[in-house]
Amino acid sequence: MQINEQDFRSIVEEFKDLIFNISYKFTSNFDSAEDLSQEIFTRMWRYIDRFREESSLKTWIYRIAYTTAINYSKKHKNAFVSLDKTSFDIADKSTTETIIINRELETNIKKALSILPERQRIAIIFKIYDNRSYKEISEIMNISPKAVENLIYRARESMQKSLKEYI
Amino acid sequence: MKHISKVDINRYIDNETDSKENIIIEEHIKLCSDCRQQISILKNLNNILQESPDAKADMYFTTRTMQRIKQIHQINPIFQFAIAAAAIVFTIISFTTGIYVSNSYYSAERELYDNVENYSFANSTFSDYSENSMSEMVMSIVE
Repeated sequence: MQINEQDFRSIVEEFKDLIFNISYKFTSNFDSAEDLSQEIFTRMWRYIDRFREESSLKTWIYRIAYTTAINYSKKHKNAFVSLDKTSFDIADKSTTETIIINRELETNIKKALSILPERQRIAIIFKIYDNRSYKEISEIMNISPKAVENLIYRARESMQKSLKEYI
Repeated sequence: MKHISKVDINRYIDNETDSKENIIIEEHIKLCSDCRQQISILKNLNNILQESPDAKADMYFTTRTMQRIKQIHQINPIFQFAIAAAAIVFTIISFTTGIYVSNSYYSAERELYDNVENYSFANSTFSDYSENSMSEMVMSIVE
């Protein structure tokens, strides 16, 4: 796929929230999410001529996001352990008590996600936050749907233990 | 009563079971409180995970990203010149080395050929010699 800078800018604009959200869920940290998102788009720009339109652009973007996130995690091991301010600080307009409960819950969700192995984490993020099917996730991660089933099952088992007081 | 496996409960929660499996699971959970509870726990887990609000990129994200892309993919003109110079030098070295090697090989071959021609087996042809005596002849020329 041949693309000029202006068209690529439109792609970034269209997918920035999706990629940023995935990056944020993956890293649990705004600064790392920004860095990872930019790295995903930089990689997309580098390899966009290899996109043969055999899959949808969205699936291809997810694939780039997946490989970049895994590499990023290896490169910055322990870099996103510090959990920063929660999205509730910015987005929620409810009472102070609700904010505190939500903040605590979100911090624990982040912790629960961050202790998952990378592949389990990314599989559960694709499932929960973007409702991708096992087949779609298997295409993104280049593994069998059965393997995706196992990753998601193991991720849920682990998160169930981490968040048992809220369930 | 045989319980539904945890893997299948996960598939059911994720809408990955087919209609036949759905009927079996739904009939089962009417009678089995353990499996019903397990499904309820996983549905709750899904709900609390989905309650976590989405993070959004700010309005300058695209500009920052495009600047980063330009910085990474823009090649410094001095570096570009260095690459071009290195390529030219490499080509020249390869070319001259190639000529030298080929000339040396031709000279050595020519010398060996002349030696064979001048050898004192003037009245004989190579075919008159057996394989062993032929190699002896070559060895003596080399020596």
